[in-house]
Amino acid sequence: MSRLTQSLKNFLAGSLGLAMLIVPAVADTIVIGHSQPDLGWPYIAAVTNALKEAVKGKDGVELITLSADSDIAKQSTDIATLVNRKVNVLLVTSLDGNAVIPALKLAHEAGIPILAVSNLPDEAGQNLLAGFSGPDDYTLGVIAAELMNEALGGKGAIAVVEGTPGQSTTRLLNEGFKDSLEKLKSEITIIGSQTADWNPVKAKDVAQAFLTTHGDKLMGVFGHDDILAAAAAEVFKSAGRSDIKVVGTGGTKNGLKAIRDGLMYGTMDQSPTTDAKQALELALQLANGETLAEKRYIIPMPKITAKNVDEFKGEW
Amino acid sequence: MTPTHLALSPLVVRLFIKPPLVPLIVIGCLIDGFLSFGNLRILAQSIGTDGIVVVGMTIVMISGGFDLSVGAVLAMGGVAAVTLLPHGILPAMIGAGAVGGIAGLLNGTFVTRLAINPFIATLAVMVMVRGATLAFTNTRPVVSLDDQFLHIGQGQPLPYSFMIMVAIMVTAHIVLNHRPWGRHAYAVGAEESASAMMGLRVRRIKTQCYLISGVLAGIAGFLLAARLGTGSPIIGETTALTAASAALIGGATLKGGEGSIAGAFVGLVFIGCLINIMNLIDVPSYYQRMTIGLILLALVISEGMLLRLRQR
Repeated sequence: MSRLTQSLKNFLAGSLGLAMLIVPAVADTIVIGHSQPDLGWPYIAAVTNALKEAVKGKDGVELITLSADSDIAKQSTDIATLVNRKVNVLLVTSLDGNAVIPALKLAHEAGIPILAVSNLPDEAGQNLLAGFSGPDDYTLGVIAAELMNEALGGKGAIAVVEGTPGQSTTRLLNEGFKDSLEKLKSEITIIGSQTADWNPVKAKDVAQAFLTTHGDKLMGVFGHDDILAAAAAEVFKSAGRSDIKVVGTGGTKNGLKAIRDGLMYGTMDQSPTTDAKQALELALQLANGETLAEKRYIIPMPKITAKNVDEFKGEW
Repeated sequence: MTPTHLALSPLVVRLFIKPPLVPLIVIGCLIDGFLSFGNLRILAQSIGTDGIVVVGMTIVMISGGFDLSVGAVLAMGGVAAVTLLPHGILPAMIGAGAVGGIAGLLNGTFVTRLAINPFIATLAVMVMVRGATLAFTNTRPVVSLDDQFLHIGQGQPLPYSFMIMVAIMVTAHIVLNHRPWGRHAYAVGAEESASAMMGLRVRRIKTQCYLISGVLAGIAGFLLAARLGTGSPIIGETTALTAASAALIGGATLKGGEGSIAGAFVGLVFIGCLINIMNLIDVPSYYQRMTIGLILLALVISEGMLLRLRQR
């Protein structure tokens, strides 16, 4: 079915077809509930679609996806809704690592196994989980710091173009990055850090501000995702400062193109397909009453630089 | 041709046409899972905190104003509550109400003393409050997993937030309809200059309306923080829109002097049921927003048509 007819169908279901009945689930069907933060986030949208595709290949598996639209109260309601619908296993990508905990408790008390996907809730919620699958934001920060360290030969002044303040993603990227620099005994210092709200236009303003404030001192920039990083790199190029090493995260189409064009130094491959497939396999094990052998299943996230960029196709 | 008289009582219009709440609930009953107690509890949980904000928004709109700042104030109230929690539940709740009240007073002062348009004044306060909250928390959510606090965010059989919302709504309904202050608020919203000539203290009444809205938004923030165990500086981005939609669907207007708590409650339940039902039949969230926008538009248009029919 084409995307247009699909969206028309969805739209009709929303505005006119309220009377449409849902077909009661067949007894033997495994129902997977997936609560995720926002369908407008490219990676989340890519994982959600990959998960839908992966579920299509399995008989007797049904997937219910609820999107919190960046509202932590809605995510709490979404999880309660999934618990009430008695899903067999709950996949949660949390918007706020702490605010989901009361809702996770609800699911836990209802005896529903919980698999955290793509990010972890805060510590107090982690003992409620049956497991974790995905790339995690902290690890992304760690890898980004390794790339930056490589690029600058272990020393220099850098600045960070951040995602939206207050989100766990932003916080964990920063923590992973800083911890990793420390661990590497790197002499890289972070001299500036500003938010761009995941918005490439704002990222350009921030990059310009970094140039104005720090001038020649600035040797590298860490963008919280490829889109921010590529936007910042464009500013540096047009200011004649292509020597500034820019590192992003995600391995997106944008990021790969920026690496090929010589704008960015590096990023890492975070594949939504791998993420979704792994999550589905683990979810099915949990739904069948099995326990997972390990608590954490981090997907491989190979570094991408100009050397190996042609090996990756960029999925999102 | 005989003049068309709509022999519909306001109550019937409110429940069947604008908004079509009863038909929606009937449709809901056909959907598997809607009528279950668990689901209705979720519904009550999800409209409880918004409902408290709706009361404040309705009162401000009755007095001819508008309050864009409620979402930011809600976030600030939640942060204040969690910050003050080590001193006890009651100080946390009072603190949340107090910071909300301060924001409300600012709104009221800007609108009445400096004669700034309510949208602009409350927009300015919204941005300031949001900025102050982000600065105070250093952009991180403040966390409390205190059992007693979390307990307030739950509640059996119905969520406490819902019961508190009902209590606040009943009080507000009585004050607006049966106390002089309430009638004065309607009068100020409908005819400001006439009210002033009658000797009503217009600016004072308006400021009090904003104060109430701020306090209620702060308290809603407290309850939401209790539900999530988190005071988040970024919560409540869409609260002002949800609250205004409920008030508008419930008969309030941007001109002022109209609207009621009962109507706003119906509007709130209508939006809540609509979202709940769309979730149950797996409508993706973006289509949900489109649907709500379309329905809001349709209801406003239908209001205009009903009005013209009546006048004929």
